[in-house]
Amino acid sequence: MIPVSVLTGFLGSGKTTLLGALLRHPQMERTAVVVNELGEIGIDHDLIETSDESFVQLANGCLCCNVRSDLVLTLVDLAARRRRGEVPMFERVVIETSGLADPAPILHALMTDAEVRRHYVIGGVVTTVDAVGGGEVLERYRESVRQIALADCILLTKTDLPQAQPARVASAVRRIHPECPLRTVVRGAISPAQLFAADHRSVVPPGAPSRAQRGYRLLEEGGAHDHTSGVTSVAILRDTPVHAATLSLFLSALAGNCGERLIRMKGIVGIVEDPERPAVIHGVQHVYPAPEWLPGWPSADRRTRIVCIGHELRPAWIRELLDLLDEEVADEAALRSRTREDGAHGA
Amino acid sequence: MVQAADARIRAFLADTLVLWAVEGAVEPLAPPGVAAIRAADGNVVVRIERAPAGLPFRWVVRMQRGEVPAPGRPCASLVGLLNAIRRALGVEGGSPIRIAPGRS
Repeated sequence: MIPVSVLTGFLGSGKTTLLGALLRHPQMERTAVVVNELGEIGIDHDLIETSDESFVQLANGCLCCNVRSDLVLTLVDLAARRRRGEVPMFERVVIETSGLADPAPILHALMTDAEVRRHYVIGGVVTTVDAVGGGEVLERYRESVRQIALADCILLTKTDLPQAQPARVASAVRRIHPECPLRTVVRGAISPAQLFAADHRSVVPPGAPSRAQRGYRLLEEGGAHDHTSGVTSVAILRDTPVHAATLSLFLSALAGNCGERLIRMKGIVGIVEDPERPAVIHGVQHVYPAPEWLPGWPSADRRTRIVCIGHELRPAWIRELLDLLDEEVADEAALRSRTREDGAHGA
Repeated sequence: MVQAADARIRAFLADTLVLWAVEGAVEPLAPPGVAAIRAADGNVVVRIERAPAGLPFRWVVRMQRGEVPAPGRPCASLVGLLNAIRRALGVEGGSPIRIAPGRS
């Protein structure tokens, strides 16, 4: 399976500079690049040095609006050409979105299209935000907030410029996505290994629980939510596991009642029926891959941890929903158990 | 105990109305009723009851038209209850959940 990383970020946030620098790195030799530019004249291609064979430019509109027709066909075609030896045996694909793209439809296509899934797996979402105008952009443009909310790794760019306000912008980013790794990068100087370590499914970075803990505490103490352009980040921490059936009911209720306001959800969940093997869940809007069952807990922290990011979510409602559903499922299980026992006694 | 549980459900439903941006109020009902949802114009539009024991569903939702409640709609879980109330109130829902295949 070939990992596909999505490189996104608002207009002028440094995506192309980053990609250009990355592609000069030896670790990026076997990388195919798909670039989406708005406008009829493609410029990014000339700014990025890479082999023509494994470079695809999608210039007919915004990628997130044409994702089915363009991206899916492009990825499938790339895989076929790779198999036939017409392009180098690339081992990673990087999709650079246009600055106005919402990454969600791209992730939906990567998660759900059968042909794409035969060859590719989501490698992570890297979002650039510039330290000069990034704060203002986050205030004004919903797209940029969604790009941050869906990120697995956020890069603060242009911090070397005199007008840069890295602390202010970092603070705005943190309010949207408190637990996401945030790195400073100057003129694209970052190693691919560092960058692409981000995994779309990761909940709490292994070995870095303190960052996540800080985020959760902040949420709990500060009325359980933060706002930037109406974006709320909701953290759920539970010491006790939930029933397996609760999980599907919970995801269904979130999708049905929060709608498009829910941008992203991810979590590691302890399950009553198999407490040693937590389930990893992650979703983009209403699309969720089937939960993945880990062989064991990745750290000593065995609490259920779920993070939801979206517009104007209600933290107390989400927490109560999970509690009520789990109590309902537990009650139903107890009822069935009693009915079975009664039946056995009657026989 | 049932009273406390009913009060909790009413509080949850009141918060749900806020989530849906619906103006209205959630009021208690005598058993087996749990809650009545009163619209902003003062009329009760939905009545929620606990289903009698032994039935394969937990909740009954009745739309109220004038003085007479409509026949009940059974709901097996809280998720179904929320869906039924949303439909009764004409609230636009989100998208149905879509589960993509897991990693192979």
